[in-house]
Amino acid sequence: MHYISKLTYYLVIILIILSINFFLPRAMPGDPLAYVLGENPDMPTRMTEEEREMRLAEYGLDKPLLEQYLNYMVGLSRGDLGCSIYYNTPVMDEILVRLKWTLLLTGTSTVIYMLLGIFLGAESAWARGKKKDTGSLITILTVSSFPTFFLGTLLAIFFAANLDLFPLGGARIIGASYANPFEKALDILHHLVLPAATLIIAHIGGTYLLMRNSMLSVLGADYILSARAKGLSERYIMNRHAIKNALLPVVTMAALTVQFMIIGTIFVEKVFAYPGVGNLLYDSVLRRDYPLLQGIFLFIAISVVIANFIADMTYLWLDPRVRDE
Amino acid sequence: MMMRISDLKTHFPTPDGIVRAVDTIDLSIRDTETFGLIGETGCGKTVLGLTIMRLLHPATTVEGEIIYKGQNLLEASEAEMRTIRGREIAIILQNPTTSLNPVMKVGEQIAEAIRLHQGLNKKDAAAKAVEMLDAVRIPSPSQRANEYPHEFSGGMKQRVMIAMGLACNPSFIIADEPTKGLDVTIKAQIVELMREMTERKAMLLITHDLSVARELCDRIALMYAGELVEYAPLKGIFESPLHPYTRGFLGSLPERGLVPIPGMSPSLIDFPDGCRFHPRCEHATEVCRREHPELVEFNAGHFVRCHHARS
Repeated sequence: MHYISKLTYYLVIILIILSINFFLPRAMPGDPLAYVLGENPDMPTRMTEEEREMRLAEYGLDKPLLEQYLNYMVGLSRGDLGCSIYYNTPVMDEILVRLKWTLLLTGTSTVIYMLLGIFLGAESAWARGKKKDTGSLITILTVSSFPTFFLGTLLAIFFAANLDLFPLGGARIIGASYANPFEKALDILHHLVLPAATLIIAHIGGTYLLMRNSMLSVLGADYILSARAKGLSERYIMNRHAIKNALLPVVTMAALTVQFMIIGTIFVEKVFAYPGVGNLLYDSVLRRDYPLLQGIFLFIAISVVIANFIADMTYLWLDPRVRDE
Repeated sequence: MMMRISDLKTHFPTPDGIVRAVDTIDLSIRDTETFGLIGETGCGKTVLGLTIMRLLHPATTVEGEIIYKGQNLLEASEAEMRTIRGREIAIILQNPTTSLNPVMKVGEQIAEAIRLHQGLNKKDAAAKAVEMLDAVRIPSPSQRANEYPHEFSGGMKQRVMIAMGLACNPSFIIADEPTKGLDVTIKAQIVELMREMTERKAMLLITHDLSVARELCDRIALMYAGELVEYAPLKGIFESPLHPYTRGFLGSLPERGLVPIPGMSPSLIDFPDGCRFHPRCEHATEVCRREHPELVEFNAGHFVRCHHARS
C-alpha cells in the first residue's frame, strides 16, 4: 500500500512537471528562428514573412498552443521528443549521446561526495572539539563555499593549465584509438578527475556538516548511554548504534539537494567542455531550442524523481518506524 | 560487602557554576541486598548511579572511593571499566523509550552484550537473547526478538531493559526508576519481576516511589541535595523515621494523605548554609541555619543527619 501510494504520487508529479516543461520555454523572451539564422531579433529580419511561416510550420510552432501541447504529450507517450530546432535531429538521439557522460560525471561525484561527507562528518563528530575536527570543519567549509564555476576554473587553471596534470576539458582524447579497453578507461578517468573533483568539493560541505551535527546529537542520546553501559567500545557504538541513526536526516537532505547537483553539473560541464547534457542544456537555452530544452528538462525531472525514490527507499531501509506507517 | 562508597563527590562545571550533584555520600551495599535510594527529582540520585558506572562526561570531577569487590572503580582504566560494565555491574537506565536504539532489533540489543562479555557466537548469543526475553515474560520471545522498540508497549520496553541489564548475569545491578511512567497494574508486574530476577544479587534501586521501595528494598536511604539525610533498614524508615524530610516524604504517600513537603528542593549549585533542608523544615532553629549536621548513628544501623533527631 505504502509503495503504491508513493508511486502514484511520483506519477502525478511527473505529469505536472511535463506540463510546466512545455509552457516554460515558450514563456521565455526571444525567437527560436533568430538563433538558427544567426540573426539578432532586434534587427530587421532578412527573412520574408512567408519564409518565416514556412519554417515555423515545419516545427509545428504555427499551431495553437493547446494543440502544440497535445501533440507534445502524445509524442512523449511514444518516446518521441520531437526534433531539435538547432541540430535538426531527434531530441532523443541528441540527449542519449550525451547522457552517459553526464551519468558518469554526476554518478561518480554523488557517490563519492556522499560517502566522503558521511565518513568525514562522523569522524569529525567523533573527535569533537579536537584539532582533527576543527581542522576538517574549517577546510571543508572554506573550499565548499566557492561557487562551482569559480572552483572549476581554479582547478582548471592550476591542475590543467599550470601543472598540466590533467586535461583542460573534454571527456576523452578526440579521435584517439586505444590499444585496449583498459587504456580507454584510463583516458576517460583522466578526463573525469577535475570535473568530478569540482562537483565533489562543491557539494561535500552540506553532507559533512549535517552528518557531523546529526552525529553529535545522536552521541548525546539515551540509547548511546545505554550502549556504553553494556561495556561496548566507543568504536563499536559509533559504527553499530550511532551512524545508522545519524544518517536519517542526511538521506532526506540528499534527496532535497539533487537539484543543486544538476545546476552544478551544468556549470562544471561548461567550464570543462564536458560533452554532457548540462553543456547541451546551456547551449540550448541560448539557442531557444524548445524541443531540445523540453527533452532535457524531462530527463532532469525524471532523474530528480528517481533520486527521491531512492532516498525514500533508503529511508525505509534505515528506519523501521517509517516502514510500519 | 559488595560495594563501599566513601566520601564520594561528583561535581559538574556549568556556565552557571559548579553543580554539586553528589556531595558527599558514604554508603555500603551488602552482597545480596536491595538498597533503595529515594529522593525528589533533581537530588542527584541518577548521577550517583552514573558515577558508579563511570558514564559521566569527562569534564565531571569525581572524588572519593567506590570500592567494588576490592577494586576502586574510580581508579580503573577505561578498558577495565568496559569489562566491568554490563558483565559485573549493570545499570537499567530510566526512560526505556529513549534508552533503546530505535533502528536496532530488540534481540540484537540484548545479544551484543552477550557476544562481548561471554564470547558467544552470533547464533548462540541470539538464542540467549531470546531466553532472556522469555525470562522477563515477554510472550512469543523468538518473534519479538526480531522486532524493533517502537513495536513494544511501555511495560514491555521496561522488560526489555531488564533483560538487557541482566543478560550477562551481573552481580551488581543499578536500577534507575524502573517503574517510572507505568500504570499501576504494570508497575506491580515489573516490581514482581524485579524481585524475582534480582533475588541473589546486590541492587541499588533508585526511585522516588516509596511504594516500590517498600516492596523491594532491604535498606533505604533518603537523599536530599546531594547527600544522604537518613538511612536505615526498611522497617526503621517506615515505622520510626527520624529526619523531618523522611517524615515529609512518607506523609506525601497516598495512604497518608498526600501531604506535600512545602517549598522546593534547592539548586545543586548553591546550597543553603547549615542544614540543607532547613528552609523547608518546620522544626528549624538557629543551629540548623548555622551548622551543617553530620550523619550520626541514632539507633543500631539507623543513621540520620539532623540536629534535632528524635524518635
